Amino acid sequence: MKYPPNSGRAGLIASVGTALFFCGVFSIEGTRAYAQNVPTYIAIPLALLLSLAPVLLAARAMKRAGARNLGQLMRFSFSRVFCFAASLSLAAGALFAAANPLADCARVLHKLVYDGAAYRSILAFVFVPLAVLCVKGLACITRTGLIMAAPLAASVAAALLTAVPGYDTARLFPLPGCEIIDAASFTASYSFAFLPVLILSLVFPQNPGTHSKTAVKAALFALPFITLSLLAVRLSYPAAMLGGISMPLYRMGLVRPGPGFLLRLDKLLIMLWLAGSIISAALLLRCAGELLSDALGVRKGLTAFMLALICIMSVLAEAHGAERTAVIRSYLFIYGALLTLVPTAAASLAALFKRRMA
Amino acid sequence: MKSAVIFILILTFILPLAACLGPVSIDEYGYVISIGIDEGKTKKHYFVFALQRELTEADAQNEGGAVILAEEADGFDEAVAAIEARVPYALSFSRVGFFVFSGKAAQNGALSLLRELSFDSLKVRASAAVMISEGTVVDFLGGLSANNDANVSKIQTAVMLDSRMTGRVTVMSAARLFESMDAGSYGFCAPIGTTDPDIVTSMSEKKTEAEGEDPLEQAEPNARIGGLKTYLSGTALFSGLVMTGVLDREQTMYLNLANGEFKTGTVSLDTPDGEYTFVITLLSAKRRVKREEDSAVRIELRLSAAVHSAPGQVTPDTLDKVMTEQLPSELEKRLSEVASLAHEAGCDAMRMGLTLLRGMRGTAPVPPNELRALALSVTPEFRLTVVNAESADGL
Repeated sequence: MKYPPNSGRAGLIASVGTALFFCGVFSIEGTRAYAQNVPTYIAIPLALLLSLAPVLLAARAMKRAGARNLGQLMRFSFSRVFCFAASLSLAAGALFAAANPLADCARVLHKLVYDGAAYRSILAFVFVPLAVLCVKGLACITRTGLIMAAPLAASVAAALLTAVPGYDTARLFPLPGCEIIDAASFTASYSFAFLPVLILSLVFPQNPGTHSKTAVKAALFALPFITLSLLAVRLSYPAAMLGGISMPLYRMGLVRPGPGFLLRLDKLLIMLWLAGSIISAALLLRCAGELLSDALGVRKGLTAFMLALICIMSVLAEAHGAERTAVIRSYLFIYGALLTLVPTAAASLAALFKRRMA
Repeated sequence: MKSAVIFILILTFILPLAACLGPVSIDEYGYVISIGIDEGKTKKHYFVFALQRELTEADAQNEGGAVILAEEADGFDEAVAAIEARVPYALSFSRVGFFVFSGKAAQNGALSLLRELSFDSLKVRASAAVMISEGTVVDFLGGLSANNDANVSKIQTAVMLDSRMTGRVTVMSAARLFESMDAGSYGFCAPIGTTDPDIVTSMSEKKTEAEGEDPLEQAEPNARIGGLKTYLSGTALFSGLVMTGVLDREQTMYLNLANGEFKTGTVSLDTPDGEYTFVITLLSAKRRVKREEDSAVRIELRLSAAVHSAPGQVTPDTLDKVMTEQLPSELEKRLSEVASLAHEAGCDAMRMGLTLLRGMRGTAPVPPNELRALALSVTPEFRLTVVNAESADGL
């Protein structure tokens, strides 16, 4: 079935916004961020805005080249070999960005929710909807994202509001006194959490000239949720404790004083957030799959399915080799932006240069 | 669209199907609602677990309340293993509402056990309250499950209600204990409870409705009758993880006033000549903390008050004078006494650490020991204003 040129944009904005939220909030490397007293509720939203820059450059290049999606831009800019290399680099970035929220949710389910269930059973449970969404395609993922956007937004709002009795502004202190260079370096490195989502969203075919609007709208949709969530985490925990806590947004509900039915809300929230993480991962993996399949000449669904499998296997491997993966993860946070930034910037600049010369 | 609907349905059905992951029948678990730690005789600790008792139809006439399981052990896991070996179910800690330590154990630093437990593995919520028992833990927990009623499971609600209504109870959880130790921004203090075995409860001796003695008939004249044998009698102060002092209920109210946890309560006030006694309800309190130029800290409290009871012959002007002049100076004195007691106990119960933290900037969190030492070097001054809510100005 053929869809009109700009159909599915609302779903794309909702799905990309969802992915930005989960990648942004669930991927914080606590030991680095909080040990340096970095104000994450300022730095990470700034990182999101910063990561729009290469996306806007790519969108401009696509408009000038008349490309409807990132794949067409790369074929316009690069030879077949470079296309494949660039697709591979973007796929690596997508795998990492997709795995982070899934790993966090699976870890919470394993440690805090399911007694006695093996980690691999939980991942098998997660893999099925992820694989199905990846195989079904972008239209299905974006429509699912559009339907789930409202419940996810409500779930985040519920988590923030139910934790209100436990907030204390004193936990924001000492005020950040970090060097500008440190803060800038953290902000720049954290843009890696958002770059794969924003850049790969360009794979979705749209009329040339509308890509930038889509990316900006998705970022603006996610921005208040990211800012408020990170602020709520800082209001609930002092920085001294946050370095050693995984998924503090979930745990906020566990430290809230007092009994009541809201005490059990966290279990419902984690299932909704798992659904959101699955949609985010599916979006990233399907987009990466479409790029790779164009380069390899393989069916898109199959490529996306294989990427989903690799993603789940890497999450499982992380559980068994925790220390090693922690080292890999910290390096990727510092250098991982290059995986997505370099091929996109290169393709954009090449396209602009070619257009100028033409 | 149809595909999306189908996948939404799949995602929705996955929710209840998730229960298939490692399913365990509810009968196979004993839900622990309270964990007690006392000093052991032959081993390091004496662990007491109060389990929620599920009443079945067949057991309808038996006692309700909690099931108490106890074991001496050097560590928590050892105790759990020993108990699970002699009961037909596994212990589940996902419903633990509070920890209770005996006073003796608390004085010997037994609270460090909370830092050793893996709350994640046990699935214990960090919002579980921490309490201290003046006597033994078994007496404390036993006194909470009288009247054929599983009162143990309601204790957390009762404590919060007591705190809100009287201001004479402090509410502290394990999460706040961890924050106090990791951030050093305030001293930990926990409610302390007493068990009075002389309190007569109407059904505590009855095994069924049809048999057993009725202790009410045999109660002494003017006996304390009804309610639970265990009640909260004040606040235990801690220096680090060691209990170093105790405040009574009235002193606890002043502590709550000073650290901003007070909602409402009553104070009694004698006139200087001792002729009259007033009982004044403090309706609300607004707290502001100011750091002076010489690093001193001043806590300003603005209280709204109304007369609860006063001798009939006292004029409204006298009442107003008592409330707006005598009461503030008397409360300032009492607050300073409580501040001194906390200081002597080495406990930053008035949260000077939080006040000092607000003026700091840094590239890293302040080391907790440093902040604690700074906080203990500060003794706050108090400035009170009382507004008579029943006067024309106060309304």
